[in-house]
Amino acid sequence: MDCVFDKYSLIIDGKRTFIKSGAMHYFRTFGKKEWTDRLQKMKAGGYNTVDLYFCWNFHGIKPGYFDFSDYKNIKDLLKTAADLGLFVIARPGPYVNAETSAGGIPYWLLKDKSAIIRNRTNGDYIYSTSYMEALKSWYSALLPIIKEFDNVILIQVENEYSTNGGETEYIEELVKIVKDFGIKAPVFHNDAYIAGLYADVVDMYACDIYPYINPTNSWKTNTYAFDTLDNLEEIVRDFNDKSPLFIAEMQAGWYDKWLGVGYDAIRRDMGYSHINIMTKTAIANGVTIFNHYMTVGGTNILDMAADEVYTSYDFAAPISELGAIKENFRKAKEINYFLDAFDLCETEPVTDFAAAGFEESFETPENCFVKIRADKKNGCNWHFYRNFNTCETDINGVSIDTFEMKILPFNLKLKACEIVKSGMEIFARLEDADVETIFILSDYKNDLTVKDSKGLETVISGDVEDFYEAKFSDGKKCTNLIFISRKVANYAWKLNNSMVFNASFIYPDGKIAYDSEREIKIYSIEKGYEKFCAVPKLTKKKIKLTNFDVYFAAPEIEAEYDYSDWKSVKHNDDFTLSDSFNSDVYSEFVWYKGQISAAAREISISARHIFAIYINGRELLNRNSYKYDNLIQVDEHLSVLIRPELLDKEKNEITILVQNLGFDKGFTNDINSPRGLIYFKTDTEEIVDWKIRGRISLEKRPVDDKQAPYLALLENKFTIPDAYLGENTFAPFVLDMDKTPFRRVTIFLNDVKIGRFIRNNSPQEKFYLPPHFLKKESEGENVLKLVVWEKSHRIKSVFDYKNYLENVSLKVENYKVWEMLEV
Amino acid sequence: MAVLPDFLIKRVYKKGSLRQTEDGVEFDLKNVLGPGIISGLECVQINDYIFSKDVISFVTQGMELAAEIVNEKNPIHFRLNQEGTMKLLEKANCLKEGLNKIILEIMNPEAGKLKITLTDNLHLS
Repeated sequence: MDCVFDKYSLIIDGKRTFIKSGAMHYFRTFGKKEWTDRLQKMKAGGYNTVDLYFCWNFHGIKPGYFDFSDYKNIKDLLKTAADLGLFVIARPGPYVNAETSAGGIPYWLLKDKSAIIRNRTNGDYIYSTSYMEALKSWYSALLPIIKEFDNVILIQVENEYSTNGGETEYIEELVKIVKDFGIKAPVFHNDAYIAGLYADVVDMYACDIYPYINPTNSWKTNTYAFDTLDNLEEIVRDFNDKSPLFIAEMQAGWYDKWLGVGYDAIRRDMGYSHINIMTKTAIANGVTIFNHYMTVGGTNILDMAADEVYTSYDFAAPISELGAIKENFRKAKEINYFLDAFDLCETEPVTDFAAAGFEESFETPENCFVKIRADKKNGCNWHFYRNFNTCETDINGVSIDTFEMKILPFNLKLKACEIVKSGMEIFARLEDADVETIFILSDYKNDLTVKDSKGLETVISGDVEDFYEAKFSDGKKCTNLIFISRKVANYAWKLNNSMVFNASFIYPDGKIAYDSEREIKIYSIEKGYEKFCAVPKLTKKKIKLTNFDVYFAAPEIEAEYDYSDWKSVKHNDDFTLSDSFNSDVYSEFVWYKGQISAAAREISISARHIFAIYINGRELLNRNSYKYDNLIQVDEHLSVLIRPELLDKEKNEITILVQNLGFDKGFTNDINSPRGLIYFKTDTEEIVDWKIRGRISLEKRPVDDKQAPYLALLENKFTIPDAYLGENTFAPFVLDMDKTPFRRVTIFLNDVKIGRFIRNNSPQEKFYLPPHFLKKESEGENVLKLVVWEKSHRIKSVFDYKNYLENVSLKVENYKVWEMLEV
Repeated sequence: MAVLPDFLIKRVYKKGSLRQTEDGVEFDLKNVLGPGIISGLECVQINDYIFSKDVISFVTQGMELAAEIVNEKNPIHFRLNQEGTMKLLEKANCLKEGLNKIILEIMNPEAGKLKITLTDNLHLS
C-alpha cells in the first residue's frame, strides 16, 4: 500500500483517507475467534483502522526466544484485520506502557545490570548497548512479520518517550532500524506532552490526549482539562506544519486500579458525552487521524498486568471486556458514519464568523466552544458547537444540550438539494449513482433549512416522527432525507449500502445480532424497507458449581518441609534482603523459609505486595501491603508481635509467602522496583539464613490432612453446550465470585491463570472466562481451579473454614446471549 | 519521583523574573505546557536557602493561595497559558549575582511529587 501524507491527511493509494482508528490489545483478548469478533464489531461501527501494540514480554519469554503461537499468533491477528479490510497502526514498542508489567519490557532484561532500560535513568539519557542489542532482537523477530502486511499504514517507535535533555539519538536509531527492515509506512512517535518532542526526527508528528485521568473527580467539573485539545491545532501547528493532525491516543475510556472506583462508575461518569466531545473537538481542530484508546476492553491474564491494575481491563471502552457494545461505542459509530458520509480530510479553520453567517455581535457563550471549518472537498462549512454549561445553551440560534457537542452542516450541497443551515446532525449517507439517502438525527429543539433545486427554501422541524422523509429531486438526481431519533440511531447499523435498524450489533459479513424477540428493519435505496423477525432460541445459561473437590495445598508451610535445595538469599546486616528478582526468582508467588530463635518476640517486615507469615506451620499474619502515597508505591513496614506459643522449639521454622502483583508500568517511575521480601528484622536482630523458591506447588492433599488449610485448592468441572460457543451465537461467560467467603483467590481456567480476586481491593467480583480457554461440550469438560489463600475474617476456626470450602457455591453464567440472523 | 522532562518543565518559569521584594523573594510562572493540577506546594529552595510551606503563597488570577491550604481537596487548577507569581514571604538574603538555582517541589495528583530545578541569571547591581 502506498501511504504518503501532506499537512491535511494520509493519502493511501492516491486517496485521501480519514483514519478512524480504535485500539485493541490482542494480549488482553485471546485467539482468532475473539479477535475476529472485536474487529468485526469495530468495522461495523465505522472504524477503518485498528491500533495494535505489540507487547515484547508477551512473546519474548526468554532471551532470543519468541512465542508467536496459538493466542500469541500475530500473523493470524494481522491477517484477520487485513481480511476485514481494516488498516493497522503498528506499535512495536519496545516500551508500550498499556498498564502492563514493566510496560512490556521482558523481565529477564530488567535483570541485566548492563542494560539501561529505554536508555534512560531518572530521566537522564544514557545510551546502553546491551539494551539496544536486546531491543534489536525483538524488532528482528517482529518487524519482518509486520512487513508482510501492506495494510499496516503507520508504525510507531517507542512510546510517550522523553528524557530530561530531549536527546534524539535513540528515537533516530529506532526510526532507522524500522526503515532498514524495509517498512515503508510512515514512522511516528506519540508525544505525551504535546510539546513537539521528536517532531523533526520522525516522519509524522503525533500526540496523546487524556483530559480525564482521575476518576474520583468527574471530568464535567474539571473541564479546564480540555484546554490542550481545544487549542490543539494552534499548539501543534507551531512546531509541525508538514503532517496531518494526528492523535495517536485519544481518550475513549480510562483504566481502573486496585482500590479504584470500578468500571461501572467510570462508565457512568464518561457516558456517551466524553467520547462525543473528545472526537468532535479533535475534528474541529482539523484532526484527520485519531485513535480511540481503548476501543476494545480486555482481561489481564497470566502475569501481564502492571502492579496497579486488577484483572479486568475493561477500560470503560466502547467495546467492553466481554465484547458488549456500550453507549460510547454507539456514539463513536455515529461520528464514524458521519465521517464516512462526508470526507473531512481537507478543511481549514474559519476565523471570520460574520462571513460564515453569524451575527456581527456574536460572542461565544461562557463555557462553550465554537469553531468553524471550511471544507474544500464538500464546498461547505462545518460548525462545531459545544456546551460545557450544566444547562441547555443557545449557540448561534441552535439549542445545545448540557455537555453536548454537534457538528452541523452549512451550505452543504447534496445531489438534489442544499442544506442551508442545520441544528441537526447528519448520521449517515447511503448513495447510488443518482440517488442518495441522508439520515438526519432529529432533534425537537432545532430545525433544518433546505433549499431545493429551484432555490425554494423549506424549514423542517426536528420535532418529527422517526423515519419521517423529505424527498428532493431535480429531475435527474434525488436526495431523500430520513429523520431518525438518536434512540433509533443507537441500534442502526450500516451494512454495505443499506441501513439495518433495531439490531444489537452486526457483523460486516451480514450477520445481525439480537438478544430478544424483535423486528429487524433493513433499508436500502433499491428496495426501501424490508422486515425480518428475530426470535431467540437460547436462554442465558446458568451453571451452579457446588461439591468442589477440596485439597489443601502448599506443603511448604509445614515445619518438616524439606527446602534444602532452594536457593539462598542474602540477609544483609541492615536486615534488607536481595529482592526475589535479583535472586533469579520471578514468580507471582515466592516462598521464603528460614529459622529464628525462641527468644524472638517481634518481627518488623516489609514485602511486596501481599504476604503471610507462618511459624512452625501456623499462621502469624496475612497482610495486603499494597500501598500508594501520591501514586508512588511505598514500602509498608509492619511490626508484629509473635505469640510465644508459636515458638515451641529452640530453632523455629519461619515461612513467608509473598504474592507479587507485577512490576510498575514504568511511565513515571523506573521500572525495576524490588519485589518479594524486602526487609526482615526480629527484636533479637537475627540474620536469617533465608532460602527462596518461586511458585506454589499446589500439592493436592485430602481434607483430613493434618495441615491447617492456609492455602486451599478448589477444583470443579463444568460443561458448556456447543450452541453457546457456536458460530451464530455470541454469549460471553463470567464466573461470579460475589457470594464466596474468600478474600483472596487466584483463578485458573483449564490451567490458564485468568484472574486474581482480592476482595475489598478491587470492585471486580465477576471474572470473564475468555472463550479461547473454554471448551465446548463436544471437546470435553472445563476445569476450574481456585487457589484460596485468605479466608473471610468472619471464619474463625479451621473446622469452620474446611466446612466453608466444602460447601462453597459458585456460578458460571452468561452475561447475555446474542444470536445471529443471516440476511 | 516522576519523570517529566526537565527541559519541558523549565518552560513554565519566566526567565528573569526572580526578584527580591520588601517581603521576601518572588518569581513568575506561566503554564505553557497544558492544563495541570497542583495539589501541594511543598517547598522552594533558592540556592542554599529553603523556604518552608508556611511562607509560600501563589498568586494567580487575582487570588493569593497560601501553600498550607493547597492540597488534594483544594488544589490549584493551573490552566494552559495561566500565569502566576510564587511569593516567598521571608526576608532571606539568598539571591546572588549571576546564576541562581531555584528548586520547586510541588505535588500533582497523578504524577506524585515533582521536583523542578530552574536557574536564572541575575544582575543585582
